[in-house]
Amino acid sequence: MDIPFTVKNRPDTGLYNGKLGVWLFLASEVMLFGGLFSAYVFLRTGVDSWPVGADILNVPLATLNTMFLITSSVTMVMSWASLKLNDFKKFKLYAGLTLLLACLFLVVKYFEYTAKFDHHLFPSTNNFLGIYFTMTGLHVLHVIGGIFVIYYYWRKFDHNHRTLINNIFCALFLVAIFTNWDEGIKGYETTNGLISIVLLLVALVSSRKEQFKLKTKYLILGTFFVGALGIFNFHGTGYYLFLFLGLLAIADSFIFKSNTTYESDPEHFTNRIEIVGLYWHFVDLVWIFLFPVLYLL
Amino acid sequence: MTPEEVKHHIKTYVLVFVALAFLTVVTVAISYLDLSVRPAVILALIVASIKGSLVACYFMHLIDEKVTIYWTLLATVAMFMVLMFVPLGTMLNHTQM
Amino acid sequence: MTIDHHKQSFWTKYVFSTDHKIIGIQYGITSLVWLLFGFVLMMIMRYQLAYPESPIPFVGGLIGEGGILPSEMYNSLGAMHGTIMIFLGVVPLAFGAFGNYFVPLQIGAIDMAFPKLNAASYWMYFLGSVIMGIGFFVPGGAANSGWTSYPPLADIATTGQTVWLFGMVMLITSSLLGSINILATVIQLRTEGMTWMKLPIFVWTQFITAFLLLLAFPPLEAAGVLQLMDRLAGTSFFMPSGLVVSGEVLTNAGGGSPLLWQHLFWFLAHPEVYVLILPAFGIVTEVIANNTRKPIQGYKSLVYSMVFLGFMSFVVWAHHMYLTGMGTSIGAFFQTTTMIISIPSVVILTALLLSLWGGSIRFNTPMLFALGFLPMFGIGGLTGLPLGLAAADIHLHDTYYVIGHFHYIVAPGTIFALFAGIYYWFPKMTGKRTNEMLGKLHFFFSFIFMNGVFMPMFIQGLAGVSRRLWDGGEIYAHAADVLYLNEVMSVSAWLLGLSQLFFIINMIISLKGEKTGEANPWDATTLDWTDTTSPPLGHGNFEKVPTVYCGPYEYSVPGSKEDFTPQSKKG
Ligand code: HEM
Ligand SMILES: [Cu+2]
Repeated sequence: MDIPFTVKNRPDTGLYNGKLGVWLFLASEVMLFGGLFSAYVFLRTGVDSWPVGADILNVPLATLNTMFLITSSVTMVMSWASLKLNDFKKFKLYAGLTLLLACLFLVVKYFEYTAKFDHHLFPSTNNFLGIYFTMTGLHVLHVIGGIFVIYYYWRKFDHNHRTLINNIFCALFLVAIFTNWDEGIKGYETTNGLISIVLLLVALVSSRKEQFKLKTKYLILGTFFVGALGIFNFHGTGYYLFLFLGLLAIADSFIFKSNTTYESDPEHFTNRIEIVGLYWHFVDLVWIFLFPVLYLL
Repeated sequence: MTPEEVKHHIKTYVLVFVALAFLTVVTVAISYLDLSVRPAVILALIVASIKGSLVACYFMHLIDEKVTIYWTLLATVAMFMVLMFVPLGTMLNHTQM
Repeated sequence: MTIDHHKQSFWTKYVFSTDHKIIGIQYGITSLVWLLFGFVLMMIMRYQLAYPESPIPFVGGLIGEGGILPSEMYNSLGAMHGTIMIFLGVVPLAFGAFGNYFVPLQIGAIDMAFPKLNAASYWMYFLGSVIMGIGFFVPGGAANSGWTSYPPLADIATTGQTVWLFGMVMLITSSLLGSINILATVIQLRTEGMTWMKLPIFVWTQFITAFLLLLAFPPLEAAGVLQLMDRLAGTSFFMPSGLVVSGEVLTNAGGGSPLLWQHLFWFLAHPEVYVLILPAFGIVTEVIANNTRKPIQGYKSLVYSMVFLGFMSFVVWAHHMYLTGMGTSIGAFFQTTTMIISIPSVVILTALLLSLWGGSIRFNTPMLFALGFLPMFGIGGLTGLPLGLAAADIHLHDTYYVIGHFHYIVAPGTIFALFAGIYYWFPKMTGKRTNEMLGKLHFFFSFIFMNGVFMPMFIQGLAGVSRRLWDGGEIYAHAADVLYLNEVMSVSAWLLGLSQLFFIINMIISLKGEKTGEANPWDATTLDWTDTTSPPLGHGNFEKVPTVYCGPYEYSVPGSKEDFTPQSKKG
């Protein structure tokens, strides 16, 4: 038996369940960030001096990031509109762009954070930095969550897409291995490192060949295990990155199935994207306030 | 929603995007004016609120939503305001009020 | 309409179920276990209070050298008793268990709006509760800064506090998922004809409770994150400058404010106390209407009072902070709001009392508990008024008087209501009847000993005995006159614990008993009784989803043949 109003609107409220649900969730999110903003105001008014964000933080980078998020918000809403026009190709394009922009946001954020750490600016340095790291950190978690969700609906693969994704993971793997070179691959891990590289190259090449396409994922699995064997004598950040990417790649190719809602029930799928969009716009909205409050004032 | 309406919406989205980008530049520009704290805060919050409302109204379609959602958000905004401002009140002592 | 009968394995049917009834029962069992555990913690504390520094019987071996309760451990037990009772016991039972099981049934829905989310919310709660339990095994023991976790103490406390915070974050997330679900279910899945003013009061209370949880809990989550940052990343959100601990100045950056925590905490925790009481109102209303066989007096005033109560509960929180040196103007504001919020409470209590008037009351076990609730809540509420006025609170704050006040509401109040609910709905959930004799014994003994535990607290509190004292006030001269009460309270507490055996035995015997086959043994009017079998069908609840024509409490309608008119009866 199916729950009513999962797809169609309930006549008297004019809503389907998911939409109401996500708005309720956003209401609680408003209060969550509200708590933090309230803390910010309370702490700031409670002390005599408070640093100006622009003196410590990198405004140009943050402006760039603002642009990324705003743009991703438009592409998100466009992806939904494309579905409304029954144009699935356009949907993939726009949702893909959203994902890309979101990832760029994270990359910029990564450089911002590490730059702070390099200058010995930590959350514990003062309460301004403390609240900066807490608020942006929580926001980053929301971005990451959004990326996972959007990706889940975006990943509907024919073989070419599969190949593309696998190649991206291979490339990221290679980067992870090479950035680790000095820390360990050169020493203990030479064999593992080399085997991984060979496997990955084979993967990259074979994924181009029609008859091997679907087998690439096993090569990735192999790479991961070979690499993971290094765990006993090797502990760099890059290594953890390697493991993390590996798990993601494996989860992606072996565990998750393509979402087939669009085929079975396009309206349902469109609704889902609307909901995801609402969440994503909210993440954007929070940033719109975080940006001036933390960086400019 | 008919395809025409959707196309019309898409035009709005692009316009909103342009406005958002423009306003971002504006906030940053204002921050380089070196205003004193009070006007700087007020201006920045006004601009941010405009941007926020644009996102909420057009991208999130709040401009045309159902009453249930309006009521929910109204309650939320009320509680949000309480949470933001009432704690500050406890910092004042009676001579200041 | 068809009902799925496909075979499910034990795991999918009872463990990872998405059926709201199973999830409700999972919530119920888990929270009852935690309630019992929290109660045991308290019984241990009461031994120390009655006979300071003498070895504790039975569990002494687990506790420490010579079986004597060390003072640090006393603090742990106190903090964990509060946390467990509120966040792992009463709320999950009242909201998670009863809400999950009966809201969909009463509004004629086949399940919750988001069944998977529902399961996720239970498992989050379970995980959170396990994390809380782990706290007992980390170095330094479980959290020991009170259930309120005030910094700076909590910021510098032992590891248990970190565990507590992680547990809280899980529990809060679980509550948020649960409340979204209840709200969406009530708004979207009411069956045909079930208009807002035909909702049973129980559904209303769950609905308002869900709103409180939805909007009040996130700020505490934010505060929890901030406190975690303080503890793990060395920030000083709650740490003032120049704090001296054990003779040494702390090296952290400082500039923070302990008051910030108190604001964010009480912003949740005052609405939370209404989360504790509203479902109790709901259950009591159902039971009273059913057993007086007449409509509830003032349905609409009950609904509006509860909505108003919900809103007001967000603007009274600083009455927990009168002694923090706030200005008089803002103090006046909070005193005023606190006085205003007691008005709807009085309206509700009055409506329930008036509902008894002229009824032909059936004194069965659920009804006894519901009737017991009324005066107990009355005492609890009235003793709140002096606390709400700053002048009186200066004397009473942080004394046993406060403990007496809120326990009267939560223990003989809410817990009685929950027992009423369990006895009332047991036939629905199992298709069997409970034993009336044991139930009545359970009630009478509980009633006597509850008062034995909590009434003396007012006397001690008025004499000025502080709460959270390890030795029960022995070293204070002003406590000398009332010290003998410690033993009275402790003995009552243990006897209260023994009285719960009636309940446990009753449950076991009744569960072993035969099914009666009656769907509606109480002759009730609401959909949960009239349109489902007992227990309700596995997936889908109703043979045929009912349509609603009548109000929820149409008992003894003049001219009708039976003395109750089901909501789904036409005309
Ligand atoms: C009827 C109106 C009520 C009034 C005027 C009232 C007032 C107060 C006040 C002023 C305090 C703070 C005392 C102090 O710390 O000095 C307090 C504490 C408390 N109240 Fe109430 N209250 C009311 C109803 C309730 C209800 C319905 C509950 C629900 C369970 C409740 C639960 C609590 C709790 C748990 C505390 C103690 C918190 C702590 O410090 O650990 N109260 N009440
Ligand atoms: Cu309160």
